Amino acid sequence: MKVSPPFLTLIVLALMLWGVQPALAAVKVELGLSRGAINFPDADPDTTPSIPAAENPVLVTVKVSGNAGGDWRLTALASGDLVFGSHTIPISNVSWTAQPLPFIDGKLDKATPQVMASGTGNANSTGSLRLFFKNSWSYSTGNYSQVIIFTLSAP
Amino acid sequence: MKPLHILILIMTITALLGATQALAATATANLSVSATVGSWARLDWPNPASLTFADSDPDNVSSIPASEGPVGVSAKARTGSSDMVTLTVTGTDLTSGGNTIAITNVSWTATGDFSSSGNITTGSQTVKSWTGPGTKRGNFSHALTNSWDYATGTYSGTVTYTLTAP
Repeated sequence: MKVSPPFLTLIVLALMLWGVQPALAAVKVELGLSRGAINFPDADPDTTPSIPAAENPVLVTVKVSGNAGGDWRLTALASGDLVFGSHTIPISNVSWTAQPLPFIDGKLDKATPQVMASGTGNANSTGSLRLFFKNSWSYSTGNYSQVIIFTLSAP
Repeated sequence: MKPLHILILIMTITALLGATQALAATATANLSVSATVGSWARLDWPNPASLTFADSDPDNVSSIPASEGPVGVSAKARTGSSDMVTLTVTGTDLTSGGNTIAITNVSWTATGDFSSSGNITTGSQTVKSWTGPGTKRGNFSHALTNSWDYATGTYSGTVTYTLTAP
């Protein structure tokens, strides 16, 4: 049976990829949060311009293995603004401080995932996040809510 | 294309997809966020909160402005978007010993967000009302109607402004 050179190349490539897959599939990531929900309690806008979450801090555990030479990144993306019925409060009014490095401070966004931590290679880190809500006299009263999606990816 | 070639092509594509998926690993976790936004109200009146009407010739000065001049006031209310917020004023008659000057002789004039004017009474009067949360700002001026009928003395009374939000 004659096999043309292009297809011979494909055969070799396929065999190589099948052989390499087990090694490539060794990249693993694990992401953990110390709690699944937080609440910002009501507060006087004059005396408490920035309201800390009652459950602060939230611990974030990041584990990356089999990622030699590859980048990894932890991001946070809000599923929308804070909502109560027909009323909304921009999610950008929620921010966080983080420590230690590589965890960094930031502000939530509903369109663009915000980087919380990043690095190269493997990782086994726990970050301490403190979330804050910017208080205001201009908000309509109500109980607002939203979901934040944390995503750990490598490479 | 021959069957063998098709098979090889499929194997290659599958291997490529598998390799690509193996290259990217992802994990997600959700955090539910809630915020309790309650009702608050605050009326900021500068200190000292007092009004002084100097003695004046009733013929030359029929209305005596308060010596303190216009004062800047802010009213802050956090409430439902359709809730009514009200600023009211009430007062007591001015007294000096057994002598009285009716508080209705004291008037207010407000500018800015509180644009209004009137004579203070012993009952509650609405200075301004509005709907929904936010901060209102303006200046308040007061004046005492002068008269030859007043008995001499140093009179005093109380004027109370009240901000109400549900």
